[in-house]
Amino acid sequence: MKKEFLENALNEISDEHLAEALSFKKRSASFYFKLTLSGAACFLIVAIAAIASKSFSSNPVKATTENQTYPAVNAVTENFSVTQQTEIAIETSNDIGCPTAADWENTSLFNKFSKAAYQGNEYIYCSRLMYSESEILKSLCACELEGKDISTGKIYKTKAELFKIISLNLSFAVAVKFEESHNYYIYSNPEYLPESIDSLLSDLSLKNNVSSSNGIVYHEKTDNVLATMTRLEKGEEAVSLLLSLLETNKNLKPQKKAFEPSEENISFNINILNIPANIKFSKSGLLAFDFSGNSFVFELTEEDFSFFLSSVKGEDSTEATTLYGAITIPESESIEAKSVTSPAYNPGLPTE
Amino acid sequence: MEDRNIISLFFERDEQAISETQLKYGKLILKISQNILLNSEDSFECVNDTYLALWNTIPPNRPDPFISFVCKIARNLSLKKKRDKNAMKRNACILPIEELENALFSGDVYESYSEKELGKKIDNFLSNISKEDRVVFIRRYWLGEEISEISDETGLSANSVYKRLSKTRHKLRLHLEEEGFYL
Repeated sequence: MKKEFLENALNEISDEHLAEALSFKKRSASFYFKLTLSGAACFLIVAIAAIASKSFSSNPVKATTENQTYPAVNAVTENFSVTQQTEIAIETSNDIGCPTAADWENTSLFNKFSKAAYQGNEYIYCSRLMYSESEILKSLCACELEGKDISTGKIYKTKAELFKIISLNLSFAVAVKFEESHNYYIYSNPEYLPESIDSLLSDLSLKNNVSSSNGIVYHEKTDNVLATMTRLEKGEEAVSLLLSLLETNKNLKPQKKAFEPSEENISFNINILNIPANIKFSKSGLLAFDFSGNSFVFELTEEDFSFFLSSVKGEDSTEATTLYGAITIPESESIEAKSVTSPAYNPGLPTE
Repeated sequence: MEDRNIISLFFERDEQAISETQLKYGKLILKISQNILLNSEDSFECVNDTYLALWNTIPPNRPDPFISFVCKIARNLSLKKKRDKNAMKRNACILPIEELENALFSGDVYESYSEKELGKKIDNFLSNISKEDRVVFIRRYWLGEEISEISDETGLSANSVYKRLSKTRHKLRLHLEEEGFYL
């Protein structure tokens, strides 16, 4: 309630402040270079003045800076070595009608250069990698990515390095490190399709990498989301349940088709390393994986769904004890699907 | 295209207004929705709803600055959708707004201010802090951006962003104390 109160209160922040924050431009590298240069110049002047005063002083002061070596100011970055250039296809970002928010300079790197390619696979940006490079990264090659500022049509290029994420198969994702950033960004392949559940398990090292993300399980009826949408207290249980379900069906082959919801469905979110994925499970037995734009489904059985659902809701039909923890679902809203009338249209206009 | 030209297209009921808005602010709207809803499907729906809302409200509105108007609509629609779905979508992670909530509402009893009154006080407070602090605060608590994202966008180090936020939250609390927000 307090959160909602605060969210509404923040709506009173003036348009001028918002516009300032939304269009804030970071200072260019040249600004910092000039700053460093002017700092170095000041330091030099002070040093010369100190030496001069020492030379002309009648009562020489014991030099305290003797033998001190001043660090050289190196304004030139190391040359970037481009290797395996032939394996990299240069891709153009922002060509699918998903434009930059503001001008080019004010757009984040992964938005500017949202596509990469390696060995015939195309990847798109999906998340930031939060793990240490020694554990999960192995350098593949240097490359040059290309991005297009669609407001001006100008093409930009940037140097980057591609990495294999050790626990993920190359056909699923790679990591990109831009020369001007210390972050690693995960780019996933929207065309990735495992041969079977077994290869999905191994390609993604699912057992080690998967974790509960949003921690929710909810039910929906075709277009209508039910009121019963509860915080998942024991998300890891849902994850192990999913893994055991996959293990028992490991020979199943995926289909590259859209998920078709039935009258009762379960949907929840997980993370694979830091890649968000949505899992949907319909009463008819369709199990769908959705990784930021890439989706495929496996045809499980209605019994599998019932097993999963019964574990989710627990033995007691009015109290979801197994996965919902101690949260009680009102009987009227429990597992049975309920249609919800669409609320009156409210464009969410800013309050004056 | 300049904002005023886009608004003119809305006034002329030219559908190009939508595509120009999408071209200029589409990614920003999507980001706002995703930060709030944490779900791609819902976020894309919200983006479309935002365009529809813009179409239905301009005219008669002639917003200036346009970017704030667009983002406020996207944020309000996303918050509404999140509340409709009762989307408590994280258990372990603390959402940015919860960070602020913990700083402002922990322990003390506070006056029964209206949302609007509290909002005005926060806005006054923001007017009196440095530009960098203000930008970082709004990007974190209004836009819901991650610290690393703010760091990327502003050029400040992640550590600096974290420290600025921490100091600003503390200052805001002191400011509200001075304003008699807490009993």
